[in-house]
Amino acid sequence: MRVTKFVASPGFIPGLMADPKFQGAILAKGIDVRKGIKGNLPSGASGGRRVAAYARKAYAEKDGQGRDFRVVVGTRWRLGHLIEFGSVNNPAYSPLRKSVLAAGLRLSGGGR
Amino acid sequence: MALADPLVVCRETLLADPAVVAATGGRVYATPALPVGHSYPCVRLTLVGASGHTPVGFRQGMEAAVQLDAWAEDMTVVSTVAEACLDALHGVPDQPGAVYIKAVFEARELDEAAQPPLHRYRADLSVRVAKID
Repeated sequence: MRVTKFVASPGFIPGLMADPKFQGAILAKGIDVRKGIKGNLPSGASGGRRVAAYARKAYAEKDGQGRDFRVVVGTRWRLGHLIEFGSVNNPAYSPLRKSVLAAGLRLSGGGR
Repeated sequence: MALADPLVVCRETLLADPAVVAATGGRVYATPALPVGHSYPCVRLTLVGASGHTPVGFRQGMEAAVQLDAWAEDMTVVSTVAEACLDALHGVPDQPGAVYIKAVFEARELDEAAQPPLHRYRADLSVRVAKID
């Protein structure tokens, strides 16, 4: 019986990561995540200025070159961690993680 | 049959474990805000997202992203609580109603603004909840 052996191309992933079209598609996905943040925040009385600041200062931008390319999505509001992860006095609204899931992406911790 | 609420399943799994109950005094909450007047150590579960699915080789069930927070006034206590919780949630895969952890991303921090200062353990869990037959 003939067996076909799969050999991964060592240049495939680095080449893909360096492709401007691929980078544009990833950035577009990041922008989708950023846009989804507002819809995953509480509205009305439970929202308020803190929540509005989180969404207003949200960003999605390119970072790195070539095979180190990545898209970073976050918020520049300095208390954003309290909205995202909560604290003993704050619920964890997790708008960024919810938006990642809503965009059809997979959550995996730890970054790279 | 309907899928169970992943937070309810996780909380029941934790409260069914003697080590978790001993470490937390039964203070395991699945509410967005901790109850007024709560004491420590305590655990809070928050649902980030969930989806039902039927992957190959897995009984129909649900995959959920759950944030687990544990607070205690002592670092060793919070470690004991976290360890007990993760052990309890590492169930047997593919058993009816079972919950088990697929992945964990954890962080530890000290809230110095709280009085007394609180040690916090936070874990982002990717859990699978098997369908209850």
